[in-house]
Amino acid sequence: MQQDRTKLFTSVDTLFLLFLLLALLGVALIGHLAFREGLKTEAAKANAAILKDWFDQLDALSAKGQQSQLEACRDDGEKTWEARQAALLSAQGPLKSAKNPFDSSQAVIGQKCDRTDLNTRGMVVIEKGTPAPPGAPPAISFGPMESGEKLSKDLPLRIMVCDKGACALKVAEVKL
Amino acid sequence: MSQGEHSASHHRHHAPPDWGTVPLRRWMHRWLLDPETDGNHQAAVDRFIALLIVANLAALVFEHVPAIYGPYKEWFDWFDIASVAIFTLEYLARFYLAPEDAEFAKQKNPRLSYVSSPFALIDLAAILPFYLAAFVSIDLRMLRALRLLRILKLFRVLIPAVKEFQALNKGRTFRQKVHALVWPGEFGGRLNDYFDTFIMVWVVVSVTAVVLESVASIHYVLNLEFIILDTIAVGIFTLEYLMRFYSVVETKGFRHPVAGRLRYAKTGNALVDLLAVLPFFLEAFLHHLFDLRFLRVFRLLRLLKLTKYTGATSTLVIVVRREWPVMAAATFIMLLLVVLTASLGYLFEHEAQPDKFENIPASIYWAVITLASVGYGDISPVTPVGRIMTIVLALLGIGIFAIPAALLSSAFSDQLRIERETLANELYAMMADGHISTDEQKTIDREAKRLHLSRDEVNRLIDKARRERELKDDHTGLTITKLVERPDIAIERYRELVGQMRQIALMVDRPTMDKLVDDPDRTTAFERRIWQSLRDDIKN
Repeated sequence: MQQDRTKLFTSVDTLFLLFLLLALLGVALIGHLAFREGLKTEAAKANAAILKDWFDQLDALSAKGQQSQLEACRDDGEKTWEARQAALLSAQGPLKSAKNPFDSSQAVIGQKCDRTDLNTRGMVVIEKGTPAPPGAPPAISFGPMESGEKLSKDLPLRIMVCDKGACALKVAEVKL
Repeated sequence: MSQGEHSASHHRHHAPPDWGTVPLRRWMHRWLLDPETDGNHQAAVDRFIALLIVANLAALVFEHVPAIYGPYKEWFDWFDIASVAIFTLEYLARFYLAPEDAEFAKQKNPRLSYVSSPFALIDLAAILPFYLAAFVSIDLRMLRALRLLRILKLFRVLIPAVKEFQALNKGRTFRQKVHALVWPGEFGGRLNDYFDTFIMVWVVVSVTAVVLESVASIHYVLNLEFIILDTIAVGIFTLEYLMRFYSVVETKGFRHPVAGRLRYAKTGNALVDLLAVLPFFLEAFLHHLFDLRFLRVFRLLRLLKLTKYTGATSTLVIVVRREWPVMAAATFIMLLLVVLTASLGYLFEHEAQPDKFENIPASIYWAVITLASVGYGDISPVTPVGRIMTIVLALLGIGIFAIPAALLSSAFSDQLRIERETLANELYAMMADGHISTDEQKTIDREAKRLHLSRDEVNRLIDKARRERELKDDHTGLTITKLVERPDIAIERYRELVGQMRQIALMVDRPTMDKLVDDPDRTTAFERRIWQSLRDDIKN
């Protein structure tokens, strides 16, 4: 469309300004959606932070020679990961009121973050550390825990959360 | 001192005054705040204050991020104190120098006029909350909100630029105004410069954010801030892209409303602008279909947006185009050598190291790393023949791989020399009237910036052009046919030549010269007579 040079402001200019406004609104809308998704990741991080604080408290109790109030989380070398996980989510556990922020019907604690499975988004993942052979970096390698696995005292653990793209974000490293 | 003595001058000054030649107050005003004086620090002062305002805004934003503000609270406090100190100094300086300012000098009480002017009120609002907080208990959030008023100080720079822009674009269409704002040209003025600076700042900010996002610990803390920052950056870049796309038809070569815009959309700069925002939209719309997180890395392409603000890339493109045939030949030789080396490596080393020299394509990696003198060392020959061959080929590689680099480097400096000579010729043409006008100075400054010339280098080129112009003006270069048309110049030239002949007669080894002049094979009888009269003249 050729502009009418006799007019300083034409209908084409109005259309352009409207399009400009629409484009900016589109960017703002996408940004808003991304921000909302970001807030969900933050909520998942908050779940992980609660767990991290609980582990820190456990560590402090252990230093005083005391045990956790949760029966399943006491150090007897017999409790499986499945039992301990259930205790964390129980009414007395630190994650009693936690929900998966991306989908409340999904689990709060998961085995691993899977980028191909968006259902793992928002999950808190706890991995166990295994000492690597001497001289081989890194000194400890972390991996998923099996349900029936028995956990011993001072086992290095890594707390992670799965973000909006189901990618693992490291939160903290703790000891059982 | 009376106001009359100090009435501010309204005409443009070509240089700030020397120390002691004018009263201190005028000297300070002309050096620091007078926009009508060339070569002073006014632009630098404005730029510094503008940067400080932007830094204050950034600090205000970061103060809302506990992870940053918490550990560095003291630094933020000191920065705030330093900023207020500088803004206060600026306010006091403007107050003291108000009688020298053309805007207030004519008023009955210039300082009172300054204090009640809108800009001064803004300046005061920027610092007053800080001082009030020392006496009155103000809520911290309120204090922070009041600090936002510092942004208003930018109006001191923006309003004159907008006024200049309006004056330059009076009677022009809306699209032409958009064009003037986003494209460099005679109608853009300072507002176009500020627009470019604004885009450049956002490019740097957004690229820095992309780089920091890759640091897991920073991304973990600032996840939401990065989302907000990216949205604002994309909003700004989208606005810029659409404005350029809409107004490009005002540019020569892109006049057609459809074909012109399509042609523009295919240019390198437009593609870079599009790529700067595309990942944001693609990730939003297509993330359900594909894993598009890899696109985030492409946000780093925003850095390429800066290339349109420097001439270095266009110079490089010209150089590559110009040297392409030679470079293609050098590349061909390089490829030949790589394939030959890989084949020989495979031939001599395959049996000894079948896992490393598995086949010729696999050996190409080793060949390139060896010939390019990188030498990671992960693959190396072990057989004696293989090692001897590597010695020879590595030495050859130094020479062959250096050819394109040397070609590019010499062609690049050659291109710069050509462009500087072009500038020198332009300067020579500008010197036709004996001086450089304001418009010509702007052209020189623009070209100097493009060619990365320092002020000293430009001054040297101007001096050279001036000398050449003076030499031409003394008519020695005029041809005989031109000279005979101008007897007034011809007589001057005649006298000059006779003077030079006398100088020769005076200073030359006379016996040798006599001998040579007397040789009939060298001189005519007329020339001998002239020499004789010159000799007689000197003797007398």
